[in-house]
Amino acid sequence: MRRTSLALLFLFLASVPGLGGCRPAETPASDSRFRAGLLTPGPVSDAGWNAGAYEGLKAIEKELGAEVSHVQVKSPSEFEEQFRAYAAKGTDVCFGHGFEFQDAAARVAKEYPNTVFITTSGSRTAKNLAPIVFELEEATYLCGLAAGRMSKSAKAGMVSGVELPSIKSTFLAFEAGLRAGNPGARAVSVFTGSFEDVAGAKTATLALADQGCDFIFQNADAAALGVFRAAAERGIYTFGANKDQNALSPAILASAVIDMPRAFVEAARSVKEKKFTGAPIRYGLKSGVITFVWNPAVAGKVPAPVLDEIKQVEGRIARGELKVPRGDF
Amino acid sequence: MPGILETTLLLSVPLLLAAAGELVLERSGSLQIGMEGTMLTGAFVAFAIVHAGKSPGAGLWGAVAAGLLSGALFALFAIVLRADPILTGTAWNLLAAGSTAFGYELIAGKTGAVLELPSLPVVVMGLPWAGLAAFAFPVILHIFFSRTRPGLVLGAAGETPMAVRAQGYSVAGVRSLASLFSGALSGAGGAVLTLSISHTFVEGLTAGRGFLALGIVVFARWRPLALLPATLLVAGATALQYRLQAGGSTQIPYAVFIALPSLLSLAALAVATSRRGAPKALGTPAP
Amino acid sequence: MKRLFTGWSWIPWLTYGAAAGLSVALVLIAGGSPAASARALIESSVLSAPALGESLSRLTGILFSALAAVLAFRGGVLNIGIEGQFLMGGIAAAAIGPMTGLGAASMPLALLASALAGALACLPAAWLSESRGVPPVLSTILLNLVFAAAVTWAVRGPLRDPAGDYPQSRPIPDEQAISTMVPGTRITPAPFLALAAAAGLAVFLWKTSPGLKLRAAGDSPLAAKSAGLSDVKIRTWVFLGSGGLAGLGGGLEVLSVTRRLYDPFATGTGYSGIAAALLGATDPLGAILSSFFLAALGAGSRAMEREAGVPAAIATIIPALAVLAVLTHRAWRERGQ
Repeated sequence: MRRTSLALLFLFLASVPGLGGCRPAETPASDSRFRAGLLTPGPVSDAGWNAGAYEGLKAIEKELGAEVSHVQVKSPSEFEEQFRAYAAKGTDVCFGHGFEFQDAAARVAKEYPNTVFITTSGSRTAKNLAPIVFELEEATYLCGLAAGRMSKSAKAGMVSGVELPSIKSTFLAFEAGLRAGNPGARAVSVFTGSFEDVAGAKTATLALADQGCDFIFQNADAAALGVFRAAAERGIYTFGANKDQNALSPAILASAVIDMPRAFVEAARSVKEKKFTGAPIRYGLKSGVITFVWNPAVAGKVPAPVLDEIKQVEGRIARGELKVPRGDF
Repeated sequence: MPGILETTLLLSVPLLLAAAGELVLERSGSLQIGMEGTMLTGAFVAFAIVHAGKSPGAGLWGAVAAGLLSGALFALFAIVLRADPILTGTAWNLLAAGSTAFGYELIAGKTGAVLELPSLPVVVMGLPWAGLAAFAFPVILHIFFSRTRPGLVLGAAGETPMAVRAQGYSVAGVRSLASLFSGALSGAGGAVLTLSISHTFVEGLTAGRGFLALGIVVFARWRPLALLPATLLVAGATALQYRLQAGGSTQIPYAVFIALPSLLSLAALAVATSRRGAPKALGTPAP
Repeated sequence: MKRLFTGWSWIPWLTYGAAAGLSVALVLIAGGSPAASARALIESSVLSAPALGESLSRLTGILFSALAAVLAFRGGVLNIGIEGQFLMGGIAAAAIGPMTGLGAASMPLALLASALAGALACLPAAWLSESRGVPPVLSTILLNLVFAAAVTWAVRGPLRDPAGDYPQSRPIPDEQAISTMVPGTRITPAPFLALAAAAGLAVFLWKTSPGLKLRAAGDSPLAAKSAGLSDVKIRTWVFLGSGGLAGLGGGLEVLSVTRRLYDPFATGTGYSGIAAALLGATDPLGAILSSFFLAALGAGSRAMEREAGVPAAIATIIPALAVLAVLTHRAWRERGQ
């Protein structure tokens, strides 16, 4: 027993990399420097949702000269811990990248009035707490509209990993767009249970293609390549989501894009310039943060009337003349 | 449903390879719950090699080598040094998850990139030759365990290790060899997942398949020939659940689909009529 | 022979050097500063009240899981399903509060329910083991996957918070939750409950007659059987008790830390508990120390990400290296004896 305890204590010291011998740690930056922190629910190497947030953080560092920091949280028990740690260190703005961060942000926001907490999606607000809401639905509606006009089978599929409201909401808008393009068309969704399971996303897409779907919308994050690959194999169309993924495959008809760096920098700037009010920050097609981008590689294959119609509907949404349905979350 | 058979066969390959390796290791009396980590390592190494411009075949062999190394590490800790196998496996899963994620970051950049890889050449039914080999393993292993002397010794190491020692064999040596074999197969399974199914690598690509393979070994009740139906059933259930969702049957909660393969394995155990149990010395240190 | 090993007794300590060296190398490859990482690791796990609060809030779940493992392993049951039992405890705690509407009185009820749920979660594995000969080590791993799916279902089905569409349970109101004792930190009574449970388990195992029988049955089932003890009965009780402890840990996690059930809920707490139990020599008191070690390492490794820019991937590797180092050291030492 005693040997074990000793071993553990010693290990605790020994596992500390380079405790002795290394140059002394840098002193923390002076308090005048603007500081931003980011919590992501998954790895930022996903080339999708989390990667976008990290790019946003780096943009804040570059454009606002901020000192930035990122942490990937593994479970909900860590949300509050990480918010507290950032607030206690005098972080000026702290982003929680997802709906699920709201509770913890609200609890910590009460205790640390000098830190602003921003969650990407959600509805909770306070003097120092607000969500950024990306209305990606406005662009996914356009994807659906294009699919509705072009689909021969009048059947479209939707693929994702975990069933989350933000995902279901983009599906809802896609389906509405699809019906607007072809009232007789219908869409089915498949969830694989994981945003990392590329094989699962591919299998799901093949299954949808076998059911006759000739357009597949996806919001599958890192697993999206499985969708692209399967669509290319079956000669059907798919869509890019969150980032401009058009270059990845000629099977991609268009991408529904969020310019996360711009949204993050704008939010952080409002905090830095003391203009933050605690009101939800919404970004749709009008703001230019959300865009619908045709894939140049398939430009010749889209009928001219469809191109015209999308352009026209895009304008109507941006002007607020057409309300795109979104989920209640 | 034209594609479901092909999909099932292809999805079976990584599971079958990993399960065949684990079966041999468990029959020898040791237990590696870190197959998820070994598969992930194989998947990543195959990705790294092919991404560097080598052929998919080279990627597969590289993954086998990485699997051998993983098997050697497990043998060193859990068999030679007699550390607890559960703890070794758990630490290995963490280590592999972290290392492959870090390696991926070094290759694809901090925010990742979608990197598509060339596939292993298809031989028949959408399967690469490694896939065909996977389907041969249950038969080969059946013959190995029932007809050959090394097979009998290996099996005895998991049932009556003292007797094996009395015959002059090193039980630790036998189990270490089994661990090498198991590692190589799990690594190959990861490579097939990367090269023939996913065509890319992402963090956590294996998505729990190592644990499924563990279940398949139990499902098959440690009988090599039973690996075939067990794997086909689990992979078929996976393929089928996508079909059911794609067919629009939304009445079933999707959590049921996720739990389906494990539930199936457990249900099969509950109703099994075979009384063949686990190797008697499973998880005990080598004498 | 023995002298030779005594003379070389410094060798095992090299494993720690190797683990630390590897960690430093990884941090350097990732472009981080080892010194800043080291400082973040220590400062943010033990060196201040808030930091200690974070380590302690991680301790609750890990220690209860570790105690569950100690009880099971001592009684000869290889329960690897602690993660799943922890999840079921979390589900129960999240269900009771909002459902009964008892206010503050529902808290003890929720804890009772979570212990019960954890115990019930063991029944399939116990039955498979005794009547079908399926080793618990394997059936419980499969059950972990099933119970994780149960959480996925619960937060989207019966427990879903009607306010909003997000897959999470209703929040636990303040009066039903276990709140902080020290303002500005997250130090709640929960980790102290875990410490008390550890002391209680130690007394039970070493000082009571049922504890003695349990250990006897665990050490040598055959001998216990011939001494007239029913090994099946003992193993079943051990299994249920172990699940109960794990479930209690899950319940406390909901009531004192997350205040809701989310999906995914516990990512590896149960497995960390098993590691802590084995590192602590399957002794409740040893488990306290090793659980705290793993909890502090968890809090500290996040701090390395936050404050020293170490990638999350490396923050995963370092605790694993630490566990392997302890394993190697122990194994090496035991070879010498």
